[in-house]
Amino acid sequence: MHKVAEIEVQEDLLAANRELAQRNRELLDESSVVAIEVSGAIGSGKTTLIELAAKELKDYRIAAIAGDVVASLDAGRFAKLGIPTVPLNTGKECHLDAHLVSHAIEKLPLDELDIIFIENVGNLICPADFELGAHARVVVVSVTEGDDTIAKHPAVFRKAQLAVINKVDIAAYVDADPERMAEDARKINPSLEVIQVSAKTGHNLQSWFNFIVKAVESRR
Amino acid sequence: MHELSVAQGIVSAALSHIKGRGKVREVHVAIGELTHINAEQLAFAFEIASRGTPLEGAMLETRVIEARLRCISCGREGKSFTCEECGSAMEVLAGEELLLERLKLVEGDGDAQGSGD
Repeated sequence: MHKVAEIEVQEDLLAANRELAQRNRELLDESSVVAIEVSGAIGSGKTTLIELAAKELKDYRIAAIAGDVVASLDAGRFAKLGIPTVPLNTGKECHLDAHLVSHAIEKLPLDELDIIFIENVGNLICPADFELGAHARVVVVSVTEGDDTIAKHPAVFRKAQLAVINKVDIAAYVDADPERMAEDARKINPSLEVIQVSAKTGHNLQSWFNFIVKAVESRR
Repeated sequence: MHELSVAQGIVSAALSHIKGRGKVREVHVAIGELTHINAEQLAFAFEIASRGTPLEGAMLETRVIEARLRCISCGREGKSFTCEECGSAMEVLAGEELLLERLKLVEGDGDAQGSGD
Protein backbone atom coordinates (compact mmCIF):
# COMPACT_ATOMS: atom_id res chain seq x y z
CA MET A 1 0.00 0.00 0.00
CA HIS A 2 1.08 3.52 -0.52
CA LYS A 3 1.02 5.97 2.28
CA VAL A 4 -0.16 9.52 1.66
CA ALA A 5 1.89 12.01 3.62
CA GLU A 6 1.55 15.71 4.12
CA ILE A 7 4.58 17.93 4.63
CA GLU A 8 4.02 21.37 6.08
CA VAL A 9 6.63 23.71 4.55
CA GLN A 10 5.67 27.40 5.03
CA GLU A 11 8.69 28.72 3.15
CA ASP A 12 8.59 32.15 1.49
CA LEU A 13 10.48 31.60 -1.75
CA LEU A 14 10.99 35.33 -2.21
CA ALA A 15 12.68 35.51 1.19
CA ALA A 16 15.70 33.74 -0.26
CA ASN A 17 16.31 36.64 -2.62
CA ARG A 18 15.90 39.16 0.19
CA GLU A 19 18.47 37.29 2.29
CA LEU A 20 20.95 37.19 -0.58
CA ALA A 21 20.39 40.90 -1.16
CA GLN A 22 21.19 41.52 2.50
CA ARG A 23 24.39 39.53 2.14
CA ASN A 24 25.38 41.54 -0.93
CA ARG A 25 24.81 44.69 1.04
CA GLU A 26 26.96 43.49 3.93
CA LEU A 27 29.81 42.59 1.56
CA LEU A 28 29.66 46.06 0.03
CA ASP A 29 29.57 47.73 3.45
CA GLU A 30 32.65 45.80 4.57
CA SER A 31 34.59 47.50 1.79
CA SER A 32 32.77 50.83 2.08
CA VAL A 33 31.41 50.61 -1.46
CA VAL A 34 28.06 52.21 -2.24
CA ALA A 35 25.92 50.44 -4.84
CA ILE A 36 23.31 52.35 -6.81
CA GLU A 37 20.72 50.34 -8.72
CA VAL A 38 19.37 51.97 -11.87
CA SER A 39 16.07 50.64 -13.23
CA GLY A 40 13.75 51.91 -15.91
CA ALA A 41 12.02 50.97 -19.12
CA ILE A 42 13.89 50.11 -22.31
CA GLY A 43 15.35 53.25 -23.80
CA SER A 44 14.68 55.49 -20.80
CA GLY A 45 18.32 56.55 -20.56
CA LYS A 46 19.80 54.32 -17.84
CA THR A 47 23.06 53.55 -19.60
CA THR A 48 23.61 57.15 -20.70
CA LEU A 49 23.03 58.52 -17.21
CA ILE A 50 25.53 56.07 -15.74
CA GLU A 51 28.07 56.96 -18.45
CA LEU A 52 27.63 60.66 -17.67
CA ALA A 53 28.08 60.05 -13.96
CA ALA A 54 31.21 57.97 -14.55
CA LYS A 55 32.68 60.76 -16.71
CA GLU A 56 31.80 63.55 -14.28
CA LEU A 57 32.63 62.05 -10.87
CA LYS A 58 36.34 61.62 -11.46
CA ASP A 59 37.13 61.85 -7.74
CA TYR A 60 35.40 58.53 -7.12
CA ARG A 61 36.49 55.06 -8.17
CA ILE A 62 33.54 53.72 -10.11
CA ALA A 63 32.51 50.33 -11.51
CA ALA A 64 29.42 49.12 -13.36
CA ILE A 65 27.41 45.93 -13.48
CA ALA A 66 25.35 45.75 -16.65
CA GLY A 67 22.32 43.46 -16.59
CA ASP A 68 20.64 42.93 -19.93
CA VAL A 69 19.45 40.38 -22.48
CA VAL A 70 22.74 40.81 -24.31
CA ALA A 71 24.80 42.51 -21.64
CA SER A 72 27.92 42.97 -23.74
CA LEU A 73 26.36 45.97 -25.51
CA ASP A 74 25.89 48.16 -22.44
CA ALA A 75 28.92 46.64 -20.74
CA GLY A 76 30.97 47.64 -23.77
CA ARG A 77 29.93 51.26 -23.36
CA PHE A 78 31.01 51.26 -19.72
CA ALA A 79 34.26 49.48 -20.45
CA LYS A 80 35.11 52.16 -23.03
CA LEU A 81 35.16 54.66 -20.17
CA GLY A 82 37.90 52.61 -18.54
CA ILE A 83 35.87 51.54 -15.53
CA PRO A 84 35.73 47.95 -14.22
CA THR A 85 32.64 46.41 -15.77
CA VAL A 86 30.84 43.11 -15.28
CA PRO A 87 28.18 42.04 -17.80
CA LEU A 88 25.29 39.90 -16.53
CA ASN A 89 23.38 38.19 -19.32
CA THR A 90 19.80 37.84 -18.17
CA GLY A 91 18.60 36.22 -21.41
CA LYS A 92 14.85 35.66 -21.14
CA GLU A 93 14.74 36.71 -17.48
CA CYS A 94 13.02 40.03 -17.05
CA HIS A 95 14.90 41.26 -14.00
CA LEU A 96 18.20 40.99 -12.15
CA ASP A 97 18.14 39.15 -8.85
CA ALA A 98 20.41 39.16 -5.81
CA HIS A 99 21.97 35.84 -6.78
CA LEU A 100 23.15 37.05 -10.19
CA VAL A 101 24.41 40.28 -8.67
CA SER A 102 26.36 38.40 -5.98
CA HIS A 103 28.37 36.71 -8.75
CA ALA A 104 29.11 40.05 -10.36
CA ILE A 105 30.21 41.57 -7.05
CA GLU A 106 32.64 38.66 -6.59
CA LYS A 107 34.39 39.70 -9.80
CA LEU A 108 34.97 43.30 -8.75
CA PRO A 109 37.93 44.65 -6.73
CA LEU A 110 35.77 46.02 -3.90
CA ASP A 111 38.68 47.45 -1.93
CA GLU A 112 39.58 49.64 -4.89
CA LEU A 113 36.11 51.06 -5.46
CA ASP A 114 33.81 53.73 -4.07
CA ILE A 115 30.68 53.36 -6.23
CA ILE A 116 29.13 50.49 -8.18
CA PHE A 117 26.29 51.24 -10.58
CA ILE A 118 24.02 48.25 -11.18
CA GLU A 119 22.02 48.70 -14.36
CA ASN A 120 18.90 46.54 -14.32
CA VAL A 121 17.13 45.04 -17.32
CA GLY A 122 14.85 47.47 -19.17
CA ASN A 123 11.55 46.84 -17.39
CA LEU A 124 9.28 48.85 -15.08
CA ILE A 125 7.42 45.89 -13.61
CA CYS A 126 9.51 42.92 -12.51
CA PRO A 127 12.51 44.59 -10.84
CA ALA A 128 10.22 45.89 -8.08
CA ASP A 129 10.00 42.43 -6.51
CA PHE A 130 13.71 41.69 -6.51
CA GLU A 131 16.03 43.56 -4.21
CA LEU A 132 19.65 43.42 -5.22
CA GLY A 133 21.30 44.75 -2.07
CA ALA A 134 22.03 48.23 -3.43
CA HIS A 135 22.10 51.22 -1.07
CA ALA A 136 19.90 53.29 -3.36
CA ARG A 137 17.36 52.42 -6.03
CA VAL A 138 16.95 54.87 -8.89
CA VAL A 139 14.20 54.63 -11.49
CA VAL A 140 14.73 56.41 -14.80
CA VAL A 141 11.63 57.26 -16.80
CA SER A 142 11.54 59.07 -20.11
CA VAL A 143 8.83 61.58 -21.09
CA THR A 144 8.49 59.57 -24.31
CA GLU A 145 6.91 56.66 -22.42
CA GLY A 146 3.65 58.52 -22.00
CA ASP A 147 3.26 60.85 -19.06
CA ASP A 148 0.94 58.42 -17.27
CA THR A 149 3.62 55.74 -17.11
CA ILE A 150 4.54 56.52 -13.50
CA ALA A 151 0.91 56.25 -12.38
CA LYS A 152 0.75 52.89 -14.19
CA HIS A 153 3.79 51.39 -12.47
CA PRO A 154 3.58 52.30 -8.78
CA ALA A 155 5.42 49.27 -7.38
CA VAL A 156 8.85 50.13 -8.72
CA PHE A 157 8.58 53.79 -7.66
CA ARG A 158 7.50 52.79 -4.20
CA LYS A 159 10.75 50.97 -3.67
CA ALA A 160 12.96 53.75 -5.00
CA GLN A 161 14.77 56.70 -3.46
CA LEU A 162 15.13 58.73 -6.69
CA ALA A 163 13.04 59.10 -9.83
CA VAL A 164 14.79 60.67 -12.81
CA ILE A 165 12.41 62.08 -15.42
CA ASN A 166 14.57 62.16 -18.53
CA LYS A 167 14.40 63.67 -22.04
CA VAL A 168 12.46 66.72 -20.82
CA ASP A 169 13.91 68.64 -23.77
CA ILE A 170 11.50 66.84 -26.11
CA ALA A 171 8.46 66.67 -23.83
CA ALA A 172 6.52 69.06 -26.04
CA TYR A 173 7.04 66.87 -29.11
CA VAL A 174 5.39 63.92 -27.39
CA ASP A 175 2.71 65.89 -25.54
CA ALA A 176 4.12 64.92 -22.17
CA ASP A 177 3.91 66.94 -18.99
CA PRO A 178 6.95 66.28 -16.77
CA GLU A 179 5.30 68.14 -13.88
CA ARG A 180 2.39 65.71 -13.93
CA MET A 181 4.87 62.84 -13.91
CA ALA A 182 6.71 64.33 -10.93
CA GLU A 183 3.41 64.75 -9.07
CA ASP A 184 2.42 61.14 -9.79
CA ALA A 185 5.75 59.95 -8.43
CA ARG A 186 5.44 61.99 -5.22
CA LYS A 187 1.88 60.77 -4.69
CA ILE A 188 3.00 57.15 -4.92
CA ASN A 189 5.98 57.69 -2.66
CA PRO A 190 6.08 60.92 -0.63
CA SER A 191 9.70 60.30 0.39
CA LEU A 192 10.90 59.89 -3.21
CA GLU A 193 13.31 62.47 -4.58
CA VAL A 194 12.24 63.49 -8.09
CA ILE A 195 14.40 65.31 -10.64
CA GLN A 196 13.77 66.36 -14.24
CA VAL A 197 16.74 66.18 -16.60
CA SER A 198 17.86 65.89 -20.15
CA ALA A 199 20.84 63.58 -20.51
CA LYS A 200 21.19 64.81 -24.07
CA THR A 201 21.26 68.56 -23.49
CA GLY A 202 22.79 68.34 -20.04
CA HIS A 203 19.84 70.12 -18.43
CA ASN A 204 19.83 69.73 -14.65
CA LEU A 205 22.32 66.87 -14.71
CA GLN A 206 23.94 68.40 -11.65
CA SER A 207 21.00 67.17 -9.56
CA TRP A 208 21.75 63.59 -10.72
CA PHE A 209 25.41 63.95 -9.79
CA ASN A 210 24.48 65.54 -6.45
CA PHE A 211 22.24 62.60 -5.56
CA ILE A 212 25.08 60.15 -6.18
CA VAL A 213 27.61 62.18 -4.19
CA LYS A 214 25.15 62.50 -1.31
CA ALA A 215 24.52 58.75 -1.37
CA VAL A 216 28.24 58.10 -1.04
CA GLU A 217 29.23 60.87 1.38
CA SER A 218 26.33 60.26 3.76
CA ARG A 219 27.70 56.77 4.37
CA ARG A 220 31.24 57.82 5.18
CA MET B 1 6.46 37.56 -16.77
CA HIS B 2 8.78 35.44 -14.69
CA GLU B 3 6.38 32.66 -13.76
CA LEU B 4 8.77 30.02 -15.16
CA SER B 5 11.61 30.96 -12.82
CA VAL B 6 9.12 31.10 -9.95
CA ALA B 7 7.88 27.62 -10.89
CA GLN B 8 11.45 26.36 -10.97
CA GLY B 9 11.94 27.81 -7.51
CA ILE B 10 8.86 25.96 -6.26
CA VAL B 11 10.10 22.69 -7.74
CA SER B 12 13.57 22.92 -6.22
CA ALA B 13 12.24 24.00 -2.82
CA ALA B 14 9.74 21.10 -2.87
CA LEU B 15 12.46 18.62 -3.86
CA SER B 16 14.63 19.70 -0.95
CA HIS B 17 11.74 19.07 1.44
CA ILE B 18 10.62 15.66 0.19
CA LYS B 19 14.19 14.32 0.11
CA GLY B 20 13.30 11.51 -2.26
CA ARG B 21 10.45 10.18 -0.13
CA GLY B 22 8.06 9.57 -3.03
CA LYS B 23 5.94 11.27 -5.68
CA VAL B 24 4.24 14.58 -5.02
CA ARG B 25 0.49 14.73 -5.68
CA GLU B 26 -0.32 18.27 -4.56
CA VAL B 27 1.65 21.48 -4.10
CA HIS B 28 -0.05 24.24 -2.12
CA VAL B 29 1.22 27.76 -2.74
CA ALA B 30 -0.01 31.11 -1.45
CA ILE B 31 0.67 34.07 -3.74
CA GLY B 32 0.90 37.60 -2.37
CA GLU B 33 -1.38 39.97 -4.26
CA LEU B 34 1.43 42.48 -4.71
CA THR B 35 3.82 40.10 -6.45
CA HIS B 36 1.97 40.35 -9.78
CA ILE B 37 2.39 36.62 -10.24
CA ASN B 38 -0.40 35.21 -12.41
CA ALA B 39 -1.81 31.93 -11.02
CA GLU B 40 -2.80 30.50 -14.40
CA GLN B 41 0.55 31.23 -15.98
CA LEU B 42 2.22 29.82 -12.90
CA ALA B 43 0.26 26.55 -13.21
CA PHE B 44 1.35 26.24 -16.83
CA ALA B 45 4.95 27.04 -15.97
CA PHE B 46 4.81 24.53 -13.12
CA GLU B 47 3.72 21.79 -15.54
CA ILE B 48 6.84 22.51 -17.55
CA ALA B 49 9.22 22.91 -14.63
CA SER B 50 8.09 19.70 -12.92
CA ARG B 51 8.61 17.37 -15.87
CA GLY B 52 11.06 14.60 -15.17
CA THR B 53 10.94 15.25 -11.42
CA PRO B 54 8.96 13.57 -8.61
CA LEU B 55 6.59 16.53 -8.95
CA GLU B 56 5.53 15.68 -12.49
CA GLY B 57 1.75 15.44 -12.69
CA ALA B 58 1.23 17.09 -9.31
CA MET B 59 -1.66 19.51 -8.91
CA LEU B 60 -0.59 23.06 -8.10
CA GLU B 61 -3.14 24.62 -5.74
CA THR B 62 -2.87 28.37 -5.30
CA ARG B 63 -4.56 30.90 -3.05
CA VAL B 64 -4.09 34.64 -2.85
CA ILE B 65 -2.71 36.47 0.18
CA GLU B 66 -4.45 39.82 0.23
CA ALA B 67 -2.41 42.99 0.47
CA ARG B 68 -2.37 44.63 3.88
CA LEU B 69 -0.77 48.03 4.24
CA ARG B 70 -0.39 50.33 7.25
CA CYS B 71 0.35 54.02 7.35
CA ILE B 72 3.82 54.73 8.75
CA SER B 73 2.52 57.91 10.40
CA CYS B 74 -0.98 57.36 11.73
CA GLY B 75 -1.12 53.54 11.71
CA ARG B 76 -4.30 53.37 9.65
CA GLU B 77 -4.60 50.17 7.62
CA GLY B 78 -5.77 50.17 4.04
CA LYS B 79 -5.22 48.93 0.54
CA SER B 80 -3.81 51.99 -1.19
CA PHE B 81 -0.18 52.99 -1.07
CA THR B 82 -0.78 56.48 0.16
CA CYS B 83 -2.67 56.92 3.42
CA GLU B 84 -6.16 58.22 2.73
CA GLU B 85 -6.21 59.91 6.15
CA CYS B 86 -2.93 61.79 6.31
CA GLY B 87 -1.23 61.28 2.94
CA SER B 88 1.88 59.54 4.28
CA ALA B 89 3.42 56.43 2.79
CA MET B 90 2.10 53.01 3.75
CA GLU B 91 4.26 50.07 4.76
CA VAL B 92 3.46 46.57 3.51
CA LEU B 93 2.34 44.11 6.19
CA ALA B 94 1.24 41.33 3.83
CA GLY B 95 0.92 40.61 0.14
CA GLU B 96 4.53 40.32 -1.01
CA GLU B 97 4.96 36.63 -0.20
CA LEU B 98 5.37 33.60 -2.39
CA LEU B 99 4.69 30.93 0.18
CA LEU B 100 5.22 27.23 -0.43
CA GLU B 101 2.71 26.10 2.20
CA ARG B 102 2.52 22.32 2.03
CA LEU B 103 3.08 19.23 -0.06
CA LYS B 104 0.99 16.09 -0.31
CA LEU B 105 2.89 13.07 -1.48
CA VAL B 106 2.55 9.37 -1.99
CA GLU B 107 5.41 7.65 -0.27
CA GLY B 108 7.26 4.71 -1.73
CA ASP B 109 8.72 4.05 -5.13
CA GLY B 110 6.03 6.09 -6.78
CA ASP B 111 4.24 3.31 -8.71
CA ALA B 112 0.91 4.42 -7.26
CA GLN B 113 -1.63 2.37 -9.15
CA GLY B 114 -5.19 2.32 -7.92
CA SER B 115 -4.31 4.60 -5.04
CA GLY B 116 -8.01 5.04 -4.48
CA ASP B 117 -8.47 8.74 -5.23
